[in-house]
Amino acid sequence: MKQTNLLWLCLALLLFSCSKDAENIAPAAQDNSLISNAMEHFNTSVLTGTAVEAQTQSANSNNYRHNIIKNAEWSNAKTVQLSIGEAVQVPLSFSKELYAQVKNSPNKLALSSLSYLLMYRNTRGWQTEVVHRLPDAAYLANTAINKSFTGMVLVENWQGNFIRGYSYDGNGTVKKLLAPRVKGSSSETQVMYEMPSYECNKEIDWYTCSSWECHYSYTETICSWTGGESGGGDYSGGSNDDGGGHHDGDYGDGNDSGYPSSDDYSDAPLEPRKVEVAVIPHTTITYNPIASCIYGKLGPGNHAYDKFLVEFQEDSEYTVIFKLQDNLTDYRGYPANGTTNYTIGSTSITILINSSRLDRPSWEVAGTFVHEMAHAYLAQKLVSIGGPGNLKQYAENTNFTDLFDYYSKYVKIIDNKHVYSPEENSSAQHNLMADKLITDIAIGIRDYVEANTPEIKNHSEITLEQYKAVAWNGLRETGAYTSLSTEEQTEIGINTTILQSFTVDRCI
Amino acid sequence: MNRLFLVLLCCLLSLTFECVAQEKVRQNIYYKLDSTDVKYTKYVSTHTSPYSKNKFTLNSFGLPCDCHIAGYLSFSGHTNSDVGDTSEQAKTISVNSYKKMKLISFNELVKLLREHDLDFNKLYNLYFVEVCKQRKDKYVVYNVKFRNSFVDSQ
Repeated sequence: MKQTNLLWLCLALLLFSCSKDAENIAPAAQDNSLISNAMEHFNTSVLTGTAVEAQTQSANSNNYRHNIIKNAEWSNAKTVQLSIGEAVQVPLSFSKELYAQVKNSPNKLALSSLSYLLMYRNTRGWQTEVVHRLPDAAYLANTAINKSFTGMVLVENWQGNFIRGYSYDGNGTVKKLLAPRVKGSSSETQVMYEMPSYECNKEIDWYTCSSWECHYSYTETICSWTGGESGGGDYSGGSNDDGGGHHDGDYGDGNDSGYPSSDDYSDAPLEPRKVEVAVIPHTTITYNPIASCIYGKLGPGNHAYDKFLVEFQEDSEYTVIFKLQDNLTDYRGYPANGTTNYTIGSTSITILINSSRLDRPSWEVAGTFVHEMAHAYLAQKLVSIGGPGNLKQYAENTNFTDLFDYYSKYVKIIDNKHVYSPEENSSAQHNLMADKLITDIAIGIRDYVEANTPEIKNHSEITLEQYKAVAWNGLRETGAYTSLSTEEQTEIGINTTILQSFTVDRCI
Repeated sequence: MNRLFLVLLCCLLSLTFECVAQEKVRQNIYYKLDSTDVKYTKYVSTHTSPYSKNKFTLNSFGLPCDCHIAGYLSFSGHTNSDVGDTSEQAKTISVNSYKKMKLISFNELVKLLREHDLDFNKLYNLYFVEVCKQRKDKYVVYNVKFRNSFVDSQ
């Protein structure tokens, strides 16, 4: 019997040591009893209001984020290993999504993808925390797999009362944070004058977004303790479920306190659904009546949007920004109607539209938008694998076969050491677009024209050939175009003029 | 003082007139279509506007040219006022009228297109002149616009 007990003890020790190695990674076999217990406590105490935290006064009602109804998605709950022992991590969903604008980055991150419920037990009983992890621009731009978290973590109770917060910078310094203040509220001024040992230089801009555009909502200002690890505290209210310790200002770093350490929050794997709304019009677009009108008719439902930008929506790792720029030129210095710009390692792709060329017929300008969307579609694929130099590794993957074929044919060098010039990228991508995507581009233009002037829909004299003729704009330096006979080339010109005579010039 | 005011007023008025004149006057230029010179393609058709159901005509021309990335220069004129940017209706003229026209060569036309590319249609009122097939003593004049600018890159 003693031998059996010893065996169980060894097994248990072995299991613990394994889980320590695989820190914070959810085990395949979940500790269902811990999750069940946590859920029961959550449902019977936190939600019903018997837990002390639920009895505390409402969180800062100025903060719109706190007023949104949260829902814990227990079906996706998992156990994680913290420095204080095992805990339960539960994804959160919100009745209305908010998006945090990351400073110095085009990325907007969905609150639901940044937040989770954390439940653990210490000597005082069950503890319930809502954790918001807000990465900074450097973290989002860093493509390394084992990158350290940089940004901010805000820990609140279920009602939104602040418990603790940390900011993590690139050199390993962790600063403690004060409760966020909604910008413009009187409490902000109070903090600035009464707490000289704090600096209040952090802000989170919150946006509400539709599937097509975002609108600024409000800003939270956050102060951090300038004295490093010491000090700090909570100024908003308690959090513990049992009503005991864990008083205001208890940062409780480490095992002794019974509360998670700052490392526990930064080590947790960030699995953001990231940007659900990843297609963003710059204000140069939204403030320009012509550009905003055209842009507005190229949204969901337009074939080009659904085909070329849906990747941004689903994968949501990349952001595409539409922006106007005067006197735009291409890599050769020639005037360009539009360009698509991206950097390998970055998560944003910028489509620039030449504002000096908006006086063209609107369907031609829409053609430029669609053409650039096709580039963005290819760019997003290239960025996702770290650039064309890695195409060989993905040649068998159907998502990358075409890109591999065209880069092999038109650039020839598929090598990570090779610096791909704009000319090489242009050649490979335009030839691919001419051979494989021209019909998609044409349908995108057709959808725009039909959205602008529904009268033209199903007109017997206007076929896809006319839209294809417009889609050839910008694709004439390709093998597909030069291989056409002179008659076919002039037919393209005639088809364009037919469409022109039927199509209202301006965006209505 | 009054004299100074008058001088200033005159300057202002002359500037205004100059601006208005520059905006409104487009120079007429004529190019004679000749297959032996440039083997052009022509597409003349009549359609019904899907908006007002009015009839309109479309005259479309393609002039092959190594000068352009498309391989041809595209010109057209339509009379569909529902969509805007219309041209004059094609008309038939006599030999005498034809003789009064100052025609430009293909090379001169290409030079002007290149020089003014995006502004060509604002500066010039282009007419293509073609011998009437039914009556050799008559000419048909098509008012057209330059459609495929040299800025082709997207």
